[in-house]
Amino acid sequence: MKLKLNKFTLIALALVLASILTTTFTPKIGTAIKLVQNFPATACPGNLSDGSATAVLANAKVKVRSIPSKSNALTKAGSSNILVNNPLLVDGDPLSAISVIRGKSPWLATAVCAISNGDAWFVGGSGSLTSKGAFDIVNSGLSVSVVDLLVFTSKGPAPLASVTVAPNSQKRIFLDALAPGEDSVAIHAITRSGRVSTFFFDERRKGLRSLGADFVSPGARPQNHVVIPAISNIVVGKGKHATQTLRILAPGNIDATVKATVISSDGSFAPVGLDGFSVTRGQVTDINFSPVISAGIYSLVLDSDQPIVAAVQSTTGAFGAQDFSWSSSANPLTSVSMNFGGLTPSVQFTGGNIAVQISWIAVGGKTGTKTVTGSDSATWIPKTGLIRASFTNLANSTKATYGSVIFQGSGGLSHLLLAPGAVLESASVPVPDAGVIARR
Amino acid sequence: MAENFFVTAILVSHDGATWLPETIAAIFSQTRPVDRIVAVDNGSLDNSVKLIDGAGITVIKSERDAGFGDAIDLALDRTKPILDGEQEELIWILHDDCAPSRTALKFLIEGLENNPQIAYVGPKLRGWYDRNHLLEVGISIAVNGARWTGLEPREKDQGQHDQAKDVLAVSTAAMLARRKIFEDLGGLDPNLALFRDDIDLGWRTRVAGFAVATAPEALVFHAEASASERRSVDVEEAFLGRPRLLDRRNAAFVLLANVSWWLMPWVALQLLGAAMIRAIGYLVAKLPGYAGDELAAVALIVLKPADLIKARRSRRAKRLLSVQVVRQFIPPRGSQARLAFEKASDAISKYLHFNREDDLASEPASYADIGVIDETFDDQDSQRAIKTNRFKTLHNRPLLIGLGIITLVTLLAARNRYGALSGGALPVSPEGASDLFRKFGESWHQVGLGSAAPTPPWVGILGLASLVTFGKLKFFIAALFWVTPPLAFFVMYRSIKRTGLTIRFAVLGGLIYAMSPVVWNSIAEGRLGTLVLALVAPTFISLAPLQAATKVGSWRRIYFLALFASFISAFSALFMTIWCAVSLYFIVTELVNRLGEIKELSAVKFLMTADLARIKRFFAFLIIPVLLNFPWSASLLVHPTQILLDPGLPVSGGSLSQVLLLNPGGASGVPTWLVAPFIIFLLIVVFSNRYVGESVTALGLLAIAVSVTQLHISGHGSLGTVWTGTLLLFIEIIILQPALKISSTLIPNLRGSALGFGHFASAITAVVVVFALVGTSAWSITNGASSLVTSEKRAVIPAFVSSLSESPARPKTLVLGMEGSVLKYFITRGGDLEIGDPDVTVATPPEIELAVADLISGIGISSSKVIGAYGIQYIFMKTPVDPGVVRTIDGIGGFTRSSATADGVIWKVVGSRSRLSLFDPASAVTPIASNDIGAMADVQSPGVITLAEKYDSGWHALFNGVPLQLEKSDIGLPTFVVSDAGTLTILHDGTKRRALVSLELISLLTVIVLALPAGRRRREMDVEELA
Repeated sequence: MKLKLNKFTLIALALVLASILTTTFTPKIGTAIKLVQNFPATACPGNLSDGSATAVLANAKVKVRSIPSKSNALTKAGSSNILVNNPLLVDGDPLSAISVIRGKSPWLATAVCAISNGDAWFVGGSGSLTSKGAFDIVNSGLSVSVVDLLVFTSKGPAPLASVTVAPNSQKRIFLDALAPGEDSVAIHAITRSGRVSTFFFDERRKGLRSLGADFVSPGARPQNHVVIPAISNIVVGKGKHATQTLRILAPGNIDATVKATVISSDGSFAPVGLDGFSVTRGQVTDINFSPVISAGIYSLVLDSDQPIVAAVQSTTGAFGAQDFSWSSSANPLTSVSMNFGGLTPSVQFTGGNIAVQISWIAVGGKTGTKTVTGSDSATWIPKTGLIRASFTNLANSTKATYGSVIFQGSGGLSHLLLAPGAVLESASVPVPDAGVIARR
Repeated sequence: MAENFFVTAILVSHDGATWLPETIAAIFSQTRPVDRIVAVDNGSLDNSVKLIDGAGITVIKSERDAGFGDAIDLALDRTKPILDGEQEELIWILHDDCAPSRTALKFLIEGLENNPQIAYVGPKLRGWYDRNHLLEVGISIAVNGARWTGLEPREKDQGQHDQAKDVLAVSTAAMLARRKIFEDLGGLDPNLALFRDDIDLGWRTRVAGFAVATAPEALVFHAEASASERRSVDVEEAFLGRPRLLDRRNAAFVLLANVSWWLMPWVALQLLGAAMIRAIGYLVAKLPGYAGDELAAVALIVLKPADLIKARRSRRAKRLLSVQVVRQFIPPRGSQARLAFEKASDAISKYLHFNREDDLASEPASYADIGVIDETFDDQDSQRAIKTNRFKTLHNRPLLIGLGIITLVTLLAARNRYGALSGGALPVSPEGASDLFRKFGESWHQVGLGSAAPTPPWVGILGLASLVTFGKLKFFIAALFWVTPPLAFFVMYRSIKRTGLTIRFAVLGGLIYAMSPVVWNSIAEGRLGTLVLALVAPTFISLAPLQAATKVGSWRRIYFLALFASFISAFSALFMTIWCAVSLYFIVTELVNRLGEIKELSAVKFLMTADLARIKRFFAFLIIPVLLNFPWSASLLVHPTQILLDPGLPVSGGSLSQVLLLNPGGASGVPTWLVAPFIIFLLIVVFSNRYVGESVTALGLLAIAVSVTQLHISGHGSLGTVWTGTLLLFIEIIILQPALKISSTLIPNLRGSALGFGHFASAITAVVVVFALVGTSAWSITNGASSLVTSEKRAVIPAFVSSLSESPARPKTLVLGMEGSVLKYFITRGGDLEIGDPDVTVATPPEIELAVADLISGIGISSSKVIGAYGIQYIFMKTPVDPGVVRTIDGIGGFTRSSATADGVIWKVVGSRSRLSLFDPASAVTPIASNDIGAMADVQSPGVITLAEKYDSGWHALFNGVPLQLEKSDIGLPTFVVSDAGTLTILHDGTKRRALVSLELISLLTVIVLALPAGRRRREMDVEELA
């Protein structure tokens, strides 16, 4: 069969072919979406005690603003370590700033300068007579903010307290006012409006004697698998380690049955009394335990049939005076860069197959890189104090890796979550589109 | 007894040589002969006098401009009355164009001999040329001046009016009158030289206490030569010699001279109204002369009131009875309306018939179409068998089966679309047609921060169309979406059937078309424009518009097709562009082909003298759609990318592969794997090499569709890839009919041939067709029912924000919404986006774009000031909210959180202004109450008036009646400076818009008139049509 086409038809066919080729091989026109990426500004807590508070910044050029301040403009910090009395708004930066408060006794409290993601769980603190702690709400925005506080105690949840904070100001609520007489406290802070940062500072005193202090870091949200990556187990004497108290809460409507596993360089095991215990719903429960391990830092993994939140308080007198730390539960490790301001961190990782690349600048300017690997547990302690360090999770495993930092030395004991104060936010440049108000 | 009467026949002639021989012969052949005959000739220029004289009749010569009544008077003056007591003299008035039957006089005399009250008796008048055409059996006059015979148009005489009856009047043609009464009443009124003198005489006779009757057995054939303009009207009163003018003037005169004085104003008003309506009708029928006659007739009466006063005075003297006696003969309004309706139906029927003839002339017709045999001829054999089997009856009614299937599928598929529709490209419908008319007419649209863009004409057309549902637009839109598949089926069925294919092929074509991806994707995605085109385009294509221009079709057809193209263009700018480009191509080609002729004659002479029929027709095709869609069409030249946008919101179309399979794709449509048979049809048509025109057109359109399919176009308030549905729709329509024709010829050949490639190809095509039909049906009633377009969707804007929009401050709200990873925003005045709004949406002012960008990125310290200055009092982030954005807005300052609900988060903009504000010298801001667009208020102090609308030169302000200078603020707002306290008026000047819309409407009206069938002057009609 001979195919014979009219010349006009052939031209038209050629046109179709040409348009197909043109459309296929030319770049798409007008599809690009402009993206804006930035690190949101964070806030560091002010001096919440009679000690000295330092905001540890990435460098002296980072812009900051004291809260409150007369001007809304941010100015250069002038130093990477600046003493603060009031909270400090720190311009967005990939390097997370931290706040370090040193007590006279001495004790050490550290916190990541952060911005609230709207919902935070703080497990720790006490409203008893020894408590001098406070819940600090910093509104770094220029609008009124409202934060709801739901306080859980050993008796159950207290009525919701709604706190209004004026623009560009802070509000400090002492724990003995928030949960008077309560030894065991957990707080669920919900930001209803405003650019808010919340900090929970736990300080204990007995008369004039300091019992130590630390920030209670915001832990992971209630879940069935809770990992507390780093708990101090420092030796205070021969065969004597720091004492630990597990604080646990099942905020749901059903009692939880929990099993705890200690993971350390000594191995994994369920400590006596924690291999299967019940937690009454809505009531904060404290359980003292003393794992018999030689490792100075260990991890605790809690598996529950109901969502729970938990933290561990480690108390020690190893540094001449009594101090304690609150080890909070962590979310899976992501890449994070953090300023340490010369402190020497003890970094503990836990997970399935641990592979974390660490790059650091030590005091004196020396840099180093190391990949920490291991299964179940791995610890990295630099030889000297660090200016800053970056942690990149290389593990390609379905089992997540968790990490936290313990500072323990002559200055005191403190825990710091290995989590960025603010994550890189990516947003498209807003596009005018009438479809927004169309019923679609 | 006939012997009791003496009959004097008076024959009046005026250029009547055509009819006189028969008239004279008829007079002399009466079974009851006339006793005396006299003729009056009103200055005939033909041989009328010679003819009459030759017949032995005494001829009295009169002036050429003498009236008919004058001639009668002259005849009566010259013939002495018979004063014999035994005999009464009767006068038999005869026109030169009326021929009485042999017994006419006999029956006329019988009609009045036993009733002395009857003053006149008239015969049954039938046509001269169509001798069965009933012209009159007694006459009357309607209150609008129309001559009333009580007969239907072109009524045939079947003896239905053969009873003698009392009437208001009878025609003077062959009227038999008692001479004494005639003379006592003053004869025919000299003011009525011709026409309506008979009705006037009858009226006067009635109120004088006499009767007028008909004698239907007396038969007279009348040519009505003057009324049908077969001869000139030369009477003195005939202004400009126009018979219709004289007729209308006389009709008005008769009514006004005879009615009661208290009825005169009412009658005068009716006469004026009727004259105007008739004048419009004549203008529409392209008979401006007749239209002028109607209006001039009224003017003549008004200009010469003395004649009327005199006439009324003379009538009063001879009136014995109340005018009420005439009332029974005046036709009731119902009868007049019925007659008008019948005439209109007749005209429409003729018009449609005319178009069909045009179609048939250009295309081969089926036997069924031309009405030679029954349209179900093809099924005649099987029909005989079915009489005993209902299922077989159904089987042999493919149209019913097809329509039933498509209706059933549509009903099931539309189960989520019963109600007010919105979604996809279709915004929510406003309440009624009036809202669309307002949108179409207004110069400033309250969309976003305002727009002065011209509204596309489809908005007005949609409003007009919704009048069929009494302006209930929501119902109309929903109904349109429901009925589109069955209607599309029927339209395509009709188009295919017109080409001569059998009913079965037409039904198959209709089904394939109605179940095509273009139709169903348009329904699913709310493509209003494509849906309308799906219903009208098959008819348009089947009328072969380009052939009409190429073959130099009639101008009326050209205007009709150009009007049709304009309608389609209103719904598709892309169609208009291609249509105009093709028309331009043909014009240029024609000019290039005739370049030698142009050089030889010179350009000017060429244009003046050459035969430009084809060029003119293509020029009409080029210019009319642009003109009728002006100024919207002009705006496309300024923003050419908008050509690629269809009505409604731009919702992205399909991918390249989908387009190549002739599936327009989109967010919610027929799956690509349900391969539509059209791609196979296209290949068949192209490679058959028999339909080159169709192949080239379809491939050309496909090339365009492929080229634009990946383009992202910003417009209509959004951004999206081009919807190619309109192009694919035309491809489908163009190739479907040739493909079916090829199949219809191929199938019989395959039956008789050995198994080969043709059999396999046909089998594959059949399988694809069946698969596509079944698959698309299944999809449409399952997934297709849950499409983007559904009914009763939740409002986007919270109720309390909507309720604020009517407050005097007229606040606006900035709405934020996340779509995927993209944050989008728009400004609302309180309501959701409505139909027509996207099409007039213009770009947001750069100041607002910057302020919103700064707001979202958290660096806009002054964002709230700019946003507030534009009258935006609230920011609403609808669910799903982005916590980061919420935190940013919370933190940036100038925005106070009002609420956070499941619908979203709302902030109040601190320091936001009302729509209209006064800034006094002390920088104090005073809100001023405002309407939606304009405002009128008292200003208490001098200062700067700021209007929170997008700047446009159309904004005007009057301060104490004095215009103020329009200025632009540093953030792009229109401002006016007032120097004192006083009254302020703010308005958006819509003069230009109104002028352009008027131009558009006038152009539309003109083209409609030109496309309508032209009326014919009576002299242009066949004589058989008239009498």
